[in-house]
Amino acid sequence: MAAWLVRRLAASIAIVWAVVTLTFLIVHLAHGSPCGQPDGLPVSPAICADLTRRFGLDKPISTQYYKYLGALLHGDLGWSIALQRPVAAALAEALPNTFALALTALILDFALGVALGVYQAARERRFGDIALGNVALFVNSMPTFWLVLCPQVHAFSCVADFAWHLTLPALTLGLVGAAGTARYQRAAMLEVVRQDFVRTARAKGLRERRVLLRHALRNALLPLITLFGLTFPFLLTGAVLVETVFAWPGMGRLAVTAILQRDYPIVTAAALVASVMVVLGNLLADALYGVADPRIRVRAT
Amino acid sequence: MNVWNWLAVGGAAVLALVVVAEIRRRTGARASGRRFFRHPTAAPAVFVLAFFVTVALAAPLVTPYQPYFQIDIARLANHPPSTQNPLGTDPLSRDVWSRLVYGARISLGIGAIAMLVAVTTGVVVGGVAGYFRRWVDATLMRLVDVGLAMPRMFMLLMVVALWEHVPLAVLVLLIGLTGWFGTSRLVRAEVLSVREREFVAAARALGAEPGRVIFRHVLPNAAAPIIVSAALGIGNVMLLEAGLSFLGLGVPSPAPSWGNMIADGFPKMAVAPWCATFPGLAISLVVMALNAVGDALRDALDPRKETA
Amino acid sequence: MTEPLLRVRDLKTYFVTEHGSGTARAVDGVSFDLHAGETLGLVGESGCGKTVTSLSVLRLIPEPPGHIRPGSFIEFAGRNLLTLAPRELRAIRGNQIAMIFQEPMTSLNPVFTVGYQIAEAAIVHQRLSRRAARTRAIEMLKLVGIPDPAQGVDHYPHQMSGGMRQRVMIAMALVCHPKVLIADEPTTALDVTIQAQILELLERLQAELGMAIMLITHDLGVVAGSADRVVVMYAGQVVEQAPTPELFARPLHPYTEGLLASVPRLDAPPARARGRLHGIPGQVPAASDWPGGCRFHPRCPYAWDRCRDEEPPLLDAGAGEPGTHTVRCWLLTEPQRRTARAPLP
Repeated sequence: MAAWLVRRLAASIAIVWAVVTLTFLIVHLAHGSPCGQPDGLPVSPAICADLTRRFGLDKPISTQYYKYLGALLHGDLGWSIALQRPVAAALAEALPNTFALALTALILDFALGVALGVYQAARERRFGDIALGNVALFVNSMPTFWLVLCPQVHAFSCVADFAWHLTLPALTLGLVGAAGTARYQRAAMLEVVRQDFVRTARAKGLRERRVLLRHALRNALLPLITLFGLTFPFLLTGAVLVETVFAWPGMGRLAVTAILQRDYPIVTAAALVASVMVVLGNLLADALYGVADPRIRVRAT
Repeated sequence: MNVWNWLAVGGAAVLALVVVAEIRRRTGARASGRRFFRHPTAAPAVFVLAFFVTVALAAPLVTPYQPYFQIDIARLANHPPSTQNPLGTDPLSRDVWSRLVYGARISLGIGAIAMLVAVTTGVVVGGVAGYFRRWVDATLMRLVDVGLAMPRMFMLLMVVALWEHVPLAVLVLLIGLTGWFGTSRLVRAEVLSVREREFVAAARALGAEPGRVIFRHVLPNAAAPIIVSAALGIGNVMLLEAGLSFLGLGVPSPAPSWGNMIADGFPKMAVAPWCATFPGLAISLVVMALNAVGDALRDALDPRKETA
Repeated sequence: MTEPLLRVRDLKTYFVTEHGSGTARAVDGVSFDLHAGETLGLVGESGCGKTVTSLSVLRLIPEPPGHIRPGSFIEFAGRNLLTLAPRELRAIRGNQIAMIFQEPMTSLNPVFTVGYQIAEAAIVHQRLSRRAARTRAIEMLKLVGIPDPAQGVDHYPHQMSGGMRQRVMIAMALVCHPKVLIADEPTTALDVTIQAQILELLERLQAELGMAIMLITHDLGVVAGSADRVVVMYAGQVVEQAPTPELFARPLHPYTEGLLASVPRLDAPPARARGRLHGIPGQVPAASDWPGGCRFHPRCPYAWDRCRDEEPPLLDAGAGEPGTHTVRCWLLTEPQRRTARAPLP
């Protein structure tokens, strides 16, 4: 168990390092400097040169890389050029917002998705299943930002309070997610329902509800854990579009703004956070598997 | 829109119907074909795809205007749908229907080409990893781990935004090259299981070269999941392109990609909702059709159902 | 003769075939009785309708694609199971009639402990508390001969061997002391030595608990040791039915004859075949396409015109009371044809 954990952690750190390095390379090999923003005001060459020197952008890339890694190891994420404040502070401000959004969306996603999927599987090929299946397919096929156009126009400017502002983006993310989750859950349930042990449960004289919700669902939730591991980081970082459309001050918007402003330190830090989330999502999924599936629980100990 | 345009659109619809009927006739003899069309959404989905592809190919016939043509900026801007402009006109008095049709060329083209790049890369990498195993496999799969840990949208944004003026071809290539990780895992798993079967050993015993064995014997067996993931992947790519364009970082602006059209119409949602609504519907419809085809294919090609 | 416990009359279970065009008549007019405390062997090759028959008794046929035709009749303790409300049916399933399945590997739920799975029927039917259920599960594990039952109760199915899992299945089926146990190929998936142990266990439990067993198998050898009576099925029908000793001494249907010839016997080394077991040539036809006339005639060494044209009814072989030994074969009316040709090549 301990050896397994150490191996997993080492692999995780290696992945994060690789993503950070790749991001660093992409950012630093790109032409264009923070002074030459396409939509910014013209900056005098003197100030630009000063900025370039101050942020060490004139040094060879290898020197910059080692300096960056060294600082990173000390927990220093750097200084944002555009925001004129420490990157860590900007992240600390954006992350809770993103967490609030992601958590709400995640709960909605899985609660609704699982319920719908189970319902559909129980009514396979009947009206309820087919109708819901097509609705889910449609929602799942829409560009997320397009889905939000309609409520945006009418309702968004009215209320300014946090909860209400959270509602729309969370609803959007949650609904789109739920549509996908429902499809996944339905397929998983149908797969399980055909298995022999479900027949055994029926032969015992259990109610259909108990057969489905206890015997079948417990098994059909296992593949969903993988989906959860994939969704978790997506909601934290991949909500770029929804955060931008709703002007939600989270990680996604921070990253997009930073990219557009060529604010390198924030961009690399955002990539770091994103990859950490992916790795965390994977670890979380593995841990959940260990708890939920006795076959794995035993092997791991 | 004149009579000939309408007739051409009708012709495209008829052609799409013929395509559906023809596919159904040719696959009807096989159990997998029957399973495919037993899905209630499969036939409509094929129809939608065939229709959009036909219309896109025959764009000059079915549209009254060039996509960039401003009909009459003074009097025909933001005009609601009419018989002349069936989907209305945009703020620059361009015909939304014409832009939508030419946009289909760009959006569908990007989806198809990027997916082709992704599938090819994924198949080659997965095949090589699964066949040679050992350090080749280990190295490639670590690479895939890293690839899957990168937020795709974010990376694309970064490249597109920081390298100014990325040509469309490079954008498509980039989308393709960031989309093969899942496929390669799939192919690798399939190759690993197939290579254990007797006929691969038999082929090697007869002196066939490794590469030959992979392509002749292993890949046909792994084809089903690849096809399914490709069908679902095109839809994903189209959504990705729409997202990038929406942020102003996708297809450069005057060109009519569907994502672009939504982005342009977005600020005018209150005055001229048709500008953003129709391209959004088009994306949803095509992606939905691709998802439906993918689902139906998954069932149809599932070897476990072969005996049932 | 006493009233039978379970009476099956003219059971017809049909399936819609995959293309939706045809009908598979998997079970097509089966009748038999099961008396309290006896063991009835239900024998036939795979595809002849044994399993569907057993699943039909508890109405476990997946609908669609399957359905039990109106006119079928399954009477248990004076009530027709086929017309019971779901609630009443549940009160019988697992409680009065229990079932064990062919595959102990896949028939147990992988995410619950065997203790919970054994006790579940008792929790539902007898409203046992968790604690009492656990005690009951341990008792049952002890009863079916699992070493260290107090520990085994918390194990998961994957931690046990195939033979142990089948014991768990048996414990699970017997936890409410049912009057009927339906055992569908309980030993097929197991090693030969374990097979013998499981059969022995069933016999011992029957003596202790006094339930009737419906033993479904393709292996007449299994039936020979444990069944009181045998029903032989072919192509969805009963083709012969007799007390076990009578059947082995005087098999009348050519199909039964073929099955018997394919059983390896230690006491009588096969004289006709040297070192080779006799099978029956050909295969069971598809259930959507039973042959006309006698359904066995394409594989029958004695078949003549009448067999092709006319379906034989179940005829009484005239041993003991009427109905003791019945056969679905025209040979019974023209016994001289049997001697005219050598049985089976």
